[in-house]
Amino acid sequence: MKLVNKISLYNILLSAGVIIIGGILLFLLLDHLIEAETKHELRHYTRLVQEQIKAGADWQIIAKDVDLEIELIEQPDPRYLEFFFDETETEAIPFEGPPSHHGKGPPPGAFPPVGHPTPGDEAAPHASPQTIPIKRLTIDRQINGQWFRIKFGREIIGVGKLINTSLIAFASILTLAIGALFFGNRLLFKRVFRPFYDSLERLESYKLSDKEEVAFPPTSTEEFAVLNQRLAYFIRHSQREYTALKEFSENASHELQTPIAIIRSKLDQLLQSPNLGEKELSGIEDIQQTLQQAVHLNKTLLLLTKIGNQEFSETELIDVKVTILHFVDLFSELIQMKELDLTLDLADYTCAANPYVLDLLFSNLIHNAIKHNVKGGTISIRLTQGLFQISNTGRELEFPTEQYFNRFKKGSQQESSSGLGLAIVKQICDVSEYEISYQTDKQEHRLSVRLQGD
Amino acid sequence: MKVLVIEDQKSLREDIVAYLSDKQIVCESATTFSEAEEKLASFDYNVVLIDLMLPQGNGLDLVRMLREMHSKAAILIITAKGSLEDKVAGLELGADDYLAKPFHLAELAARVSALYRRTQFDGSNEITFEEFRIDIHSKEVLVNDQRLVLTQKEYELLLLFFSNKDRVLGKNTIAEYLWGDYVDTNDHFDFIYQHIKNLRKKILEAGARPYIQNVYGMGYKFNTKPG
Repeated sequence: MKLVNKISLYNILLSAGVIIIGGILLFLLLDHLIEAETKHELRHYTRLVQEQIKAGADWQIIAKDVDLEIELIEQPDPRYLEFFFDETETEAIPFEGPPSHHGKGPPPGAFPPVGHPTPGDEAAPHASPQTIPIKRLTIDRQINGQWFRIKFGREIIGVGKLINTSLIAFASILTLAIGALFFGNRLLFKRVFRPFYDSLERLESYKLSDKEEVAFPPTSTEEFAVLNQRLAYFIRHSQREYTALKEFSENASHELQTPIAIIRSKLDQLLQSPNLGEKELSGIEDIQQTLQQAVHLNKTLLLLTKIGNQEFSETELIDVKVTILHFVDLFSELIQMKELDLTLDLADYTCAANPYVLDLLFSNLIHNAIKHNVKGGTISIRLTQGLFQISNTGRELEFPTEQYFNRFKKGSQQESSSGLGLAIVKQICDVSEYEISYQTDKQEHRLSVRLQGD
Repeated sequence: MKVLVIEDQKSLREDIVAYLSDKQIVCESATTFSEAEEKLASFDYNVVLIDLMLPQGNGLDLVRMLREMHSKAAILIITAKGSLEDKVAGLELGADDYLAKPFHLAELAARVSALYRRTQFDGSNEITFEEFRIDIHSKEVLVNDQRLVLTQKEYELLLLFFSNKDRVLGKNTIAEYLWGDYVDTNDHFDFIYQHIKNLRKKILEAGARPYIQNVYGMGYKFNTKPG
């Protein structure tokens, strides 16, 4: 995930959390406020009614107010001696034109009808079974010596409605916030993190074998400046180490060639001495054999360095099929000796490459498949447009697959193996930008090389 | 045949000279660039071996000099670098062959013989020895005028023996000569045995004497005076 997306995601999650918690808090607060306000209004209005009755108004006329129920009672209910609130519900009347409200106090529309619907209304509630919550106040009061029970109801804004409204409001805020964060972060990143991405880009294209130093663009952000400075330091440092190491291995290999050449020619000469016994001859041959391994090792290491240095950069058009067939032929005796079943499926394919490098690649791959095979095993070589695949039977890998291409990595059974063949293959693929992959299924091994397509 | 070996390494130079010198080959040597220049200017050689890395100069300059002199000598360049550029540069300047250090003396001898044959433009694309006649062009081998049918490897082996008569050739030398760099010589000892066995059998069947001899199972020798 990209940094900008990651940060945007966290930002958005955080803001969403804050907005949701804020929304819930606001909702609770509103709910509480509405409740308190409703109670206050009910109390106030009931007091007005009481005063009006006390002043001699006809309570029956007052009671005609839709929201109001007044009845005469014999005995007060102890529950109702104080203001008693409860909640009830009424079925909503479908809204058909403005309902007419008579009476005093509350503004029209604020007090929808309370109580049971009249028989004539029955059809409508059935069609719309929605209910409206009502906050109701009941009080028993003695006015002018008579006990009255006053019930007064008032529609409260339903929790559901409140939730709906807040949800819509907060969802809009959330959407806006997310959008703003998403695009805002992008813009911010483009500006603030510019030097960071510039450095990253330079690092991505950097190779240790590059001769030039990496130049990081100057930046006013302190952290990035420090980062660039440290990066430049480490790169300089590893470049120096790399060059030194490379030169060392190159020189070591070069300088070894001459003494090895002398030893070899001395041995060749020694072999010609008259009257050598079997013991001496076998000793000389053993030395020759060991020296041969040293020669091979030295040559291979030198080769690895050279390939790494891209000394084989001149390319020409090569018929890959012909190259493969050449090495199959070169190794035909080995294949016969191991009684290997060879399957070839080669398409005509030419590619631009260095002939020497391509020879090395295929000779090592094919030789590897023979060498690590079992007697009577199989080898299958496939060449399609730009893809070379070689699979062979063989012993199960004794080390993790990731170490497959490592230098000097070899199974315990392979005494004569240098362990460098696949390192060369890997080096060639790295330098030539061929994609190489290795798969194994216990005793079946497969190497695929995607040659640069044209 | 006259051969000049230009090599600054004393031991190597001495070994090469000792190995190549026989009844038919006169082998001289030069240690330094100036000595080489002098000898090349004064004498004619059939084959010149040039080590590219000389203390006072680049062997490539000697190649250039020889070609400017229109010398007919075949040039074999030797280098420890084994780098492709040297090889290409050398061959472009007019060298005829290239050998990377470390090499087997037997291989060097085979290359020198091959180069020598190439410079003999009097149509002698033939190697003759006792009952053998080999046509280099057609790769035809005759023993007592009877055609010998050889495989590619057997033919190459025979050529190696012809350029290294009476020398002991170790299995390593033979393996490297026959299969080259790409091959792990270890794998091939069994094949050498097979090829030699077949070659010997074919030669004997054609009525030639048993020239190819086994040396304690370590190597082989083309004995010009089989007992």
